[in-house]
Amino acid sequence: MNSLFDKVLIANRGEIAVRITRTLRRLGIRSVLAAVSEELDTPAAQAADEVVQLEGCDAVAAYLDADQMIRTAQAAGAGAIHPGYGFLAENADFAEAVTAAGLTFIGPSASVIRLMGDKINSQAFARQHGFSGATLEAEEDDPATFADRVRKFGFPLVIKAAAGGGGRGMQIVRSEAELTGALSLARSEAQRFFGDGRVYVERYIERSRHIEVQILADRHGNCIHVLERECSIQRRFQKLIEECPAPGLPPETRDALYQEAVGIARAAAYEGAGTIEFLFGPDGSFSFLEMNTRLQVEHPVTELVTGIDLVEQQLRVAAGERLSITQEDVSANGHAIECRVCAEDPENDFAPATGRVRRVRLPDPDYVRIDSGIDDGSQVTTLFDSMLMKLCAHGQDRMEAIDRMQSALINTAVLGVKTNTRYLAGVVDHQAFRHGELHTGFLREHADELRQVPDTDTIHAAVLAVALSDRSFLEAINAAPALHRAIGHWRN
Amino acid sequence: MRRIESRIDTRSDAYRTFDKVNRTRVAEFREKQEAARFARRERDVQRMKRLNKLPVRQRIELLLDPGTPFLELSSLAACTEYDGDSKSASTVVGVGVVSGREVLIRADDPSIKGGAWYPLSVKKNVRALDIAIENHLPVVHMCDSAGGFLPLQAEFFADRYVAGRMYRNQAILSGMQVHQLSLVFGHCTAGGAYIPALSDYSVIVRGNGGIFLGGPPLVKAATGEIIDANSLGGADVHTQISGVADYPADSEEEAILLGREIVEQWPRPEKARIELREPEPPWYAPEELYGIIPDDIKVQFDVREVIARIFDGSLFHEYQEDYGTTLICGYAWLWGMKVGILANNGVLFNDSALKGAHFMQLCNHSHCPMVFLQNITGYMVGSDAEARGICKDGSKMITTLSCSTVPKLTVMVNGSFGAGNYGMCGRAYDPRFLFTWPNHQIAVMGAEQAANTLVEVKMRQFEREGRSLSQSEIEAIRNPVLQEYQRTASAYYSTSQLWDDGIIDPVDTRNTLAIALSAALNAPIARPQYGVLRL
Amino acid sequence: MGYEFRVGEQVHCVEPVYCQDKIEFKVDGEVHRVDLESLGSGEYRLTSGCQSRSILMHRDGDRVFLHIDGFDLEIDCENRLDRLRKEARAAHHGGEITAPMPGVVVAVRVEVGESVSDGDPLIVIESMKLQTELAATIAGVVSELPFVEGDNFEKGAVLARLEVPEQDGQK
Repeated sequence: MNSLFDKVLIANRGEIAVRITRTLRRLGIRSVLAAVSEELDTPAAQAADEVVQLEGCDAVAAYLDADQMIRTAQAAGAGAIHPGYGFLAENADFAEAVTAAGLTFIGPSASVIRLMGDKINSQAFARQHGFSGATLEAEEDDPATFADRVRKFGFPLVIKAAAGGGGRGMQIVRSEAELTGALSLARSEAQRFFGDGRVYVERYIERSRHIEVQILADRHGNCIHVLERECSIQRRFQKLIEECPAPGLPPETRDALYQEAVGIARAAAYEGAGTIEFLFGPDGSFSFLEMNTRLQVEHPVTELVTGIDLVEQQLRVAAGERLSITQEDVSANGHAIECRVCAEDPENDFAPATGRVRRVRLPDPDYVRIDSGIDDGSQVTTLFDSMLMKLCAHGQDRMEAIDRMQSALINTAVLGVKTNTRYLAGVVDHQAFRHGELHTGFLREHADELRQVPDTDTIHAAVLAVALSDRSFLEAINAAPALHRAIGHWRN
Repeated sequence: MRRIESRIDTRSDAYRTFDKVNRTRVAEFREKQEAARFARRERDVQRMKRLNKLPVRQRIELLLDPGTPFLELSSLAACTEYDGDSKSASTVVGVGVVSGREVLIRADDPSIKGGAWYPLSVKKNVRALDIAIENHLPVVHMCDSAGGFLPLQAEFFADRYVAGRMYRNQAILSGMQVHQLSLVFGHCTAGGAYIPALSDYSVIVRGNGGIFLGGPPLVKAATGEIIDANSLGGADVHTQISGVADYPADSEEEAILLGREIVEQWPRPEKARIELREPEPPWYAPEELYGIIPDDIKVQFDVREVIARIFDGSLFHEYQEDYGTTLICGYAWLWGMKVGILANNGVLFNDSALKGAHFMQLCNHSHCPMVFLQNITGYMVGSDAEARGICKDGSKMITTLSCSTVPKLTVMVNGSFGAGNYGMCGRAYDPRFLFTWPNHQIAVMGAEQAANTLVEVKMRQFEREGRSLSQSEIEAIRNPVLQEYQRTASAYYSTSQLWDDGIIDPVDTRNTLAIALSAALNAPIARPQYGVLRL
Repeated sequence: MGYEFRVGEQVHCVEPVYCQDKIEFKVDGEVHRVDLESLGSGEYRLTSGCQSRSILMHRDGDRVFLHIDGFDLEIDCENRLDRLRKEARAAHHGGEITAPMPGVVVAVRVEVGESVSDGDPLIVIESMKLQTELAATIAGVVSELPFVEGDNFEKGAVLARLEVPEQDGQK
């Protein structure tokens, strides 16, 4: 096969960098990883063919340093840059600069990124083209009347950052009393995190479902969907468990969903892989939420069910090829679930956990796909995102996928840093989850039942295992003379 | 070895009667022991709490290796003296395992008159250290005493084997390269200060611990200096300035854990080698002992039945079965350790005395420790016995016994009277440990015999004077004698005076002897050298 | 016995119960009859009666990380004597750093109000031509520094006072 590019720079880290490298290697493309000093001794660095160190004492800032990234790619002789997700992936200026520098940006055009990156504009765009959209009030329309306009939604409502997305910079307001404070907090956070303090407000729908559609489009006018994903299991707007396909969707709804998604993508002249996110109300109606112009974290579930390598498709589209897959080629084979294993302490309100990973032991069956960014010895800090790896299980049907996922989680060991593996195993095994009663408030609603605490049996077994492998302890208990041990505890 | 065949009928009236009587005796014993161990005045309990002091037996439990046995000695010492004020003679002594090593523990009980030493406390302490010396046992002292009980000083101060002997024994023990550790929980005053000072290692608890040759009252009286106990001889003074104590501890628990770690540093002893085998429990149930020991001390029973309920598998190899049949001699296994047994089945005759002496020589010559089961009224008297030389045959038993070098253990299972006490390894013949059963009685002769003898003497005297004794005069002579003998012959009087190392429940004999023997094997076994045997 | 194993806030004691054929273990008063088999590479099998568990263990000093029954646990092997001594030191002595001999203050490394950990350097002194760095023996807040650089002091003088912050019942 022809090499699409000679060399691609990966402007990212962790599990996604490892995953991208895997496809590059399969396609015979050399991989270069841009890495800060803290990331030089990681599985991602080991997986890549080359590693170039990024300068700068602020690690996160280095990954957001567009100029340095481009210079690094040029110096390494890379013809293209894959931005992964997060960092510079949805930075329109970066996409533009990459192209201006004569390199290929693995992703859509800067203008589409810019359009979909502004959540107010993307909603307007969808409505303009006759698609569904959420009813919202934007502050910038008329700051003076904003608060009043907002009140018409009633409570609860949600404040979002225009330049946000991916569940970040959002706040739920449940009462009038909280409103003013929440608004000013939202503005300052939006400014701080996204460099853009514009906010807007929508009504907040409790028990909504979050279902998204994967899109693939080329530069030659071809645009198809690659099924949908259910992403309702979230905490604080961050996805935790995703699956493909979405359970319990009536066929008509599914078709309508695909139609809307492809429609929006076409209207935006999208290129590459992207995701259209929809919000489903409890009544089954849906509306366009936003579009993510990048590869999603949860893409593996789609890959497992369809057999399509989305990173490969991204590379081909970016290289100017026509889509080799038609809509008819896309079909669902079985069911897949993904769980995000994060460094957090479920017993401490899921606060981020840090530490050195002493030992990772992962389950091995061929129906489990693991995208991991850690290995024995990895240092986990709060510098970067707390997600360590993704466990994806495939099954003939949803039940089998759930059983396999649960077993995989139980058998995943990460020693040295607290993770949510046991918690996740409890979630997928929960009756409501098994019955497909999914919605964005699931984790909060079932919080008490989902608490996983080792019972006395487990604790005692653990303590005994430690004691019986502790040299001092063994020496002490074997010290007593044989006669006294034979007589045992006795008093006259 | 073959198993003893028991002939006891557990359904007979005699068995049932004896069983009831002995269970009552044991229940009474356990009640007395429990009270001695734990019954304390409320204000003493409160005082201990106020001072953050743990009860002495709790201190011991924290020191011992969990899951291991502890053999307490002389729990009822001083039980018939001092109006019962000094429970266990205000001291707890026992053999236990600490950090894997067999040690002797000697602990003051501060809940009784501040732990003051009564004369019997001193005797018990000296005995404890004698045991340590004879058996090469390391010692852990738990010091917490107000010192000697001054009103009775004449009984514990000046003589050879009282207070001063404690410190002399410590020094001798140390010279034998056997270790001692002192855990100072309270005051060590005057002579008591020597205990930690003479120990190889000492730990002192900050606050309560104090070591001084003269306490604050004495110091003030002697020199006029006014100073509190802590400043005079507390933990900081001795662990930082004087070097009298080695380790300070901020709590009793810390001191005890530190003590365990210190004992862990001591080398493990090489024990005397004797024959060993996998242990097995007796074939017959030890509880049946209750139905074997008669209610009347004059009634005979076959001591083989007792042997069958103490030793492994009830196995016994009897020596000279048909000769000297009133003394049973033979070999058995005690928790897997080979021992030679000498046990009474009646009065000692010439032949039984010779058999005993010969068997003792066999045991000495095969490194076989000896266990004596005493139930003896004495040697045979009368012209026949004298003509046969009972005196010299008894002497031979005493000579071989006294010059034995293997460890000897004695259990007085019923009667211990007269010279029989001697020949069967009574206290004076250095058994390493000596235990008694609650039914046990001990005197130079039986109460009846003594009373009758004295009446007989008086009657002879009156006859010579031509008078005769009336019945009431006879009673007047007999009764006080009977009462006095009954008082001083009981197991409780005996144990109170420390004539033994403790009363035990017959059912506990097996474990007791095994732990005692194991402790005894810490001392090497020398070659015997017998005195002249009058042949 | 002194062997404690801490899981989170809970401390568990394990004691042996000697039986004729093997040793059983009492954990928090409950007796267990178990066997631990090492299978290599940190994998173990713990058998209790007919129940068998697969355990993955990794020991790092006194901390053991284990994977058991789907949980990833951390257990600290504690020596009770160590713990008692640390607590006692903190309660009684940790508060004061006293001069082991007379000398002069060469440098003061901390300020009043500063939080320090066990082992953090506090003051450098010089005596008999020898410099010594005195460190904190507890974690706490510096409450007093009676001497400054250049000051002379006697043996036993308090060179620094630390205060242990209010405990809220958690260790």
